[in-house]
Amino acid sequence: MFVVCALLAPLLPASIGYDPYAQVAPRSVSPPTPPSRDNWLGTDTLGRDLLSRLVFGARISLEVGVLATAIALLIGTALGAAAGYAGGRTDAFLMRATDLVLAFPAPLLALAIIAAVPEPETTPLLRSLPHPSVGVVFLVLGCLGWASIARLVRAEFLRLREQDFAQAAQAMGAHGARVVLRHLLPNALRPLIVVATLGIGGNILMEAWLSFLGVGARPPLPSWGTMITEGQEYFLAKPWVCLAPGLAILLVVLGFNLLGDAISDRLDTRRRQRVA
Amino acid sequence: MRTSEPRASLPGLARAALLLPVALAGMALLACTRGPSPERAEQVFRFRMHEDPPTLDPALSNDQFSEAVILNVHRGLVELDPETLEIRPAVADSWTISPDNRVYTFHLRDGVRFHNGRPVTSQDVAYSLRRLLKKETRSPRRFLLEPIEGAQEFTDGTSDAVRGLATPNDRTVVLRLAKPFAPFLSELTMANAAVLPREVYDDPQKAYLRAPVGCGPFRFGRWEQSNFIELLAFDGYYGGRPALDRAVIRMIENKTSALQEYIAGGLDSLDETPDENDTAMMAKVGQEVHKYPFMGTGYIGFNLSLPPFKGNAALRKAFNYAVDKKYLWEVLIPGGNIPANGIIPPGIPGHDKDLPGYPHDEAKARSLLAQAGYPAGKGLPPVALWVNTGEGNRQIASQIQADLKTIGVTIVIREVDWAAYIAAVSGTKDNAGQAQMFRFGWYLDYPDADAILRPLLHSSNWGPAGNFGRYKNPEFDALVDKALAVTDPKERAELYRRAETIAVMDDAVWIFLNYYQASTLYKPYVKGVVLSPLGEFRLPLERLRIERGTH
Repeated sequence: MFVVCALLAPLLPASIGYDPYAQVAPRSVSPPTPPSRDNWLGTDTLGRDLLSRLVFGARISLEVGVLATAIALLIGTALGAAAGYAGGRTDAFLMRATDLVLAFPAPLLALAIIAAVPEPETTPLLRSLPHPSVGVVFLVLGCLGWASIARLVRAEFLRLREQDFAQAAQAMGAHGARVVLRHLLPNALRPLIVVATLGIGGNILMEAWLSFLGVGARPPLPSWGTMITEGQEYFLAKPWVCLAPGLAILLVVLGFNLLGDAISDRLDTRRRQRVA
Repeated sequence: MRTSEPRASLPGLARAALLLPVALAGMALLACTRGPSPERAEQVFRFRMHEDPPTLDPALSNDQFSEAVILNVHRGLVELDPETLEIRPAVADSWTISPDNRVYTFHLRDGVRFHNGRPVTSQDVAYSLRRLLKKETRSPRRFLLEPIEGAQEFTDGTSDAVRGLATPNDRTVVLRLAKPFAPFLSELTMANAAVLPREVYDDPQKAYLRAPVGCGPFRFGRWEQSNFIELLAFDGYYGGRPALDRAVIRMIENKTSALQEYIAGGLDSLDETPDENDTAMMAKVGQEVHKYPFMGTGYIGFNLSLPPFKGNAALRKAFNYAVDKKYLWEVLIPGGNIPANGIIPPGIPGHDKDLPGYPHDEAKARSLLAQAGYPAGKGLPPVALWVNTGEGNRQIASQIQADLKTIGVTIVIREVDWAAYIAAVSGTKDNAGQAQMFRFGWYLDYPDADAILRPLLHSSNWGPAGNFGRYKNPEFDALVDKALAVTDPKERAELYRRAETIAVMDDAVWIFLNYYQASTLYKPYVKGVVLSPLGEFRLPLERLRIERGTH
């Protein structure tokens, strides 16, 4: 449902008449205003429609979640495959690099790197993105998240490399790249899909956390994390301001985790046989 | 998150040794009388500060957090009574001013001691003033002493001594000014002019930055970065030992956490009060809210050395008209501030309530924006607005962002911690800094229009010294300078009004946001509170006492 919301979000202003950036609360009342017929979830601290912002926020969250995971997947698979297939020194070198990345507390490292890019709007590579401040976040999360994927792919490859079909392909004189791409990778896909689905949830959570701390999406972007920060001052008096984005994060992350579990169950042939 | 309660600074063993006789005596008494313990409960006052003070070196201090600590640890020749705003004797117990208003002779008080026990002499005063002037000190406030004859030559290194500074004996300091300067005595009350012991402040390792030594009512206890600073009563204070035994300054950045901490009893005072619409919270602490005017002005500074504001007054005026200050302070964040029409806050001679200022007017804003060369914002790249971290600032910045969006201007908000913010905003003398726009507030150090117009807008304080916007208008400078030599209060006020009109109506140097109104929470058991027009951080801790009633 959230995916649908995110995709349809640009149509929102036209359909329900609200723009997530417009201050719609009456100018005579201190925002945040409570839920009403016009604003189903009320308005935020600047009098903007909370529901519109929540829906637009879904775009930011999914953008970060999916793109960060895609980047991590790309790097992780490439390095993991290289390590697993080549073995020897290449393997040792790549795995020590992986250990190095895993040894750093990722949230802190992400904070440090993002803080080092104070002006994403003017940084060459990022400037061209639709939301430069969000761009930094998914790039950094992507670049930090590959290590566990690399390990997984390597382990899969080590196992697959020794199996008959791989040995046969090699014996028939197949080129290394062909063996990896045609024979090994498709067989390693299943665990990867599961990890990726779980990763999306994790990255959404991370984006919310960074934005909550004020280093993620910049105002006025309606990131869920930013929305929670803005609402926390009103937590006791007007709880809907931060409960709404909080619940959204909860549901989406839970959704992705359940999806990951479901895919994992589906793909796990051994367990299916047992059940049967 | 609750921070742990700081404990006494004595090491455990020493504390036990000290407490043992007390405990024994207590038990003995208890055995005799069986009544309540006659021991006096420790008097501790805990208040909140948003972040660590950027510096504890009086010469370098240029912000209210630093001053909050320094003014309780240090004393200068004279001090400003935070309640009556009168200049009072401090290290000097009397002074005379020559008929030509140029020579100030200070007679030092007997029995003033530094926290290390050494008596204060006129040599210490001379040392401290020279230290502030010295080029190597790099003080942003050296201008305070500039009126002294020969100050500039001393700073430039062309003279080894400050000509106008003499110490005829151990108890006398004579300061001779190059020309009469009305607010000179007021300037000497500032934290920067504190009297310092040479043996501590000549340390090349700069240990004094973490363990300052002065002659004020409190000696420095401990500083746990980002957690708390502890001040301890100084038994040898010339004004008598303070009633408080300890003052604990706790760094809590987040307003909600600070409020919860105040309600939970971990703070005795808080410089922020709940949102007035928050009825549940107001029911709990509404009785403890103290509101009082205080001398300060809030604004959004334009960097006049950077595009797009450089040489474009129409653009600056357009921004001013676009921002709805009335909505900002009366609806969005009610209760704390008064919408501003200019620079000099109410109550200060020179404040002009009839100055038109820039009331919200979208149509005018649009036409000025077009006149500035950016019709409907076309051709204007996103402009960066810098603020230091905090929900309050974020809300203000977001509202300004939204207001400017309505006329087609895109604002990008840069939210960074105080130290990074100050660095970006101040830049250096030759480098204009990074901040195109910045939110700033200024609390007057003494009740005189000079204390806001000069530090923030006079060209002699260009750049890091306080004129962060890099404003330079010879006509404005001349009026502000002229006012200093004038003794007639009416004429002075008129000169300041004219200077203000130039900076506001002609040059639109800032977005003129608000005049401050302080709103502070104090627990009912805190007595001796001073609601100072200088702001809640100018609380004289030595006047406080805690009366919780007997247990």
